Amino acid sequence: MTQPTAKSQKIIIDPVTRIEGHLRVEVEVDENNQVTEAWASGQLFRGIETILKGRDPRDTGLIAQRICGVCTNSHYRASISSVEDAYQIQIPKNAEIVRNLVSLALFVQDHLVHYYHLHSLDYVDVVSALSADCEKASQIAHQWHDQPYQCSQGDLKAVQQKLADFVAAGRLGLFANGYWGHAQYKLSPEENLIHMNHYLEALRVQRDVSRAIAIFGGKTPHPQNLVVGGVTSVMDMLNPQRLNDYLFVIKDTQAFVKRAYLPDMKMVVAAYGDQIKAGEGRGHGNFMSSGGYAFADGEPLFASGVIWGHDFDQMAEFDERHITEEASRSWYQDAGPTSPYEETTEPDYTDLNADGSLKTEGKYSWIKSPRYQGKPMEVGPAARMIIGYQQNARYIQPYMQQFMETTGMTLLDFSSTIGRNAARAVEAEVVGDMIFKFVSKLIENIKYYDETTWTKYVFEDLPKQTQGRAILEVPRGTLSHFVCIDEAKVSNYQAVVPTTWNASPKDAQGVRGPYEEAIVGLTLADPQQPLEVLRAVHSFDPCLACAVHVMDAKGQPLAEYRVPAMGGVC
Amino acid sequence: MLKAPVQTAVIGVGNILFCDDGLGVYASQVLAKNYDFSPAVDVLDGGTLGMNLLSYFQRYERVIVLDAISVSDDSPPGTVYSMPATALQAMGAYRQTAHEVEVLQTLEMGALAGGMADIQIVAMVPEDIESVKMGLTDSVETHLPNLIESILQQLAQWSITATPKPSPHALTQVVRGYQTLSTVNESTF
Repeated sequence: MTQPTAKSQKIIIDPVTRIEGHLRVEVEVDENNQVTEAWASGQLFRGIETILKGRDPRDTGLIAQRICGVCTNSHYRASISSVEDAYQIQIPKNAEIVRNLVSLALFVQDHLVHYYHLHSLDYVDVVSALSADCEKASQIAHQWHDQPYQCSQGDLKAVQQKLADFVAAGRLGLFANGYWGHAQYKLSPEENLIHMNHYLEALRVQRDVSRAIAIFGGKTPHPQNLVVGGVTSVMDMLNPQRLNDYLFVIKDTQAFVKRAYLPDMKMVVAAYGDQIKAGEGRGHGNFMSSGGYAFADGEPLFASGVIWGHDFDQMAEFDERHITEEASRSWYQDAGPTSPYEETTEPDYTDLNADGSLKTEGKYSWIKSPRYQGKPMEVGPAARMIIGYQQNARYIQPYMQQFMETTGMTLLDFSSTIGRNAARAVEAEVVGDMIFKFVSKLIENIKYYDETTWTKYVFEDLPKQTQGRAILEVPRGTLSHFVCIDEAKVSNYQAVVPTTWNASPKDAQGVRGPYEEAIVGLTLADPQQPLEVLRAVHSFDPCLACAVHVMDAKGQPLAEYRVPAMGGVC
Repeated sequence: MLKAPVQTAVIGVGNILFCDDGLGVYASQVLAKNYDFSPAVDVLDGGTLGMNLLSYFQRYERVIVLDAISVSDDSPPGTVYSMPATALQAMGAYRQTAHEVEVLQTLEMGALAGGMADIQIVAMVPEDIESVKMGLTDSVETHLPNLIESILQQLAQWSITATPKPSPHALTQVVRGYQTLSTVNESTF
């Protein structure tokens, strides 16, 4: 481990903003402002597993979906599927398709929200957009697409005015985390305006997608459409009008993806070509995908596979038995690398140093270290797109090919800060297009009078002692839930989530997690504004949103809104 | 898209897995189980949905958001605050926290996007939002009727009358309902 030397200095970023949840990053930089070591630390106890112990296995889905407000459906589905696996319940085709329609719509929504609302301000200077020439901006937009989304001169003028009003009203708080004026902001005022225009449009588009998802997910905000054995949305599924509503939204969303998201991404790729070619934000090059989302002919949308150290031509098979977790550097009791079925979640908090910094020689994170064959793995869109391309996956290969041809990016380039974002944009397009294929499959299936959506079972007759798991690709990467059942109750539960893979701390061998590896080697233009580190971390789409949700109004004079106590209490 | 026929919603937000953080969710269900409203009100469990709440903020004319609130004065746990969202937004209440895409940010993004409901925040100071535990602390549970009363007062200001249902549900029943869900979910068939 690197010891601080007289010349090195430590930079602490806490919290890393504009992500879901609470993450702290500490880095050491040398006299040339190059990062020599990094520590990523999850700052909130994830004890969700413990709350599931002792419960009825049919309840786990509705509880597990509360783990996260962003990945609600992913956890819901993984949890239900793991219980189905434990009981060997095969769900009907229709149920599988409906589950896929919800999951895939979430890929598109998540990627849009990640890029525009959680990440783009690392590249887009809002203040600069105010000085853009709208006529010029419209012309530039047309250079990146024949029919750019909402980019007439008038459209852009209206957005610029809206932003100006917002800024004039002193309401820039929403964007307050940008390091504006930083030397690493490379887009022109016009390019910034085009991005901000799409930032606003994406707000509407993502809202419409969540309404489309609700068509299959039920009426209330929290979905209740999945149950062990199938789905409950029978009536909606068979209603052509509802299917049409769903498709209408997806069609509009795809127009946005193709005419806004991808062109904007190409614009950023062009502006940061040097950074991409220099491999900024490159990790170990260990990529993993579990594949999945099969079509009727058995061909999966995502290919499965494992790549080691950027050796793209040596594709290994993905085998879930190689997944372990350890807690040597995490604030839990550690029994060495353990199968998730046998793992425990017993806190062993060793605190921070007296000055509030991480104890970097010991335990320093609430995130565990998942490993595959003992190695850290990067999961997510970059892994899926690289593996899909190399495996010649029928539905991914052509999209990647086209993107690489138009941008000049190579496969290795996707293993970088910008590359991860580019892979995510390509994936949004692939997945959105494939939704139409899944819908025709559903309609076809229903035509043959297969209206089954639930596999009947008698709970009392199911085995009292069993175990199961679900491993599925979700927007941020590979998600797996493991459940052990004893006396018909949950006896152990573990969720190994995408952010755990990517944000993992070091392991007993001192090998860095993917975030840490991506950060080491970065050169900071200004150590006081470590924008390069934020970009690298954000490129993974971090989600640690098992966080609490309290509305934070500290420092605000709120006394006048205090409600006097009423009634006969206290 | 069209506005929903029901023009008013009460949305409870928070994470029921973290003790008092779920107070808004529990309060919403206490309200739904114990009152009928005229004109109708949609009472929703908004849980941890964050940015997905935007859809609901734009669909209704009026929305009450129920949440836990963290304030810096000496208000003890159980203290209730009721304020228009615009009042809180005008203060620029954005700390640089990692709870970035939370209710306040969603409100602000909504303001930028336009078409937002008239939103009132009715919130309570929690005692424990760290324990991984379903259920509320005594101080929050004891004061929950004050929160309910504040909601009813706000609804009254919007000329909505609340009539108690014949057989009341206690908070403990609502909390238990979230802990034993399987019976509920099978009855949905």
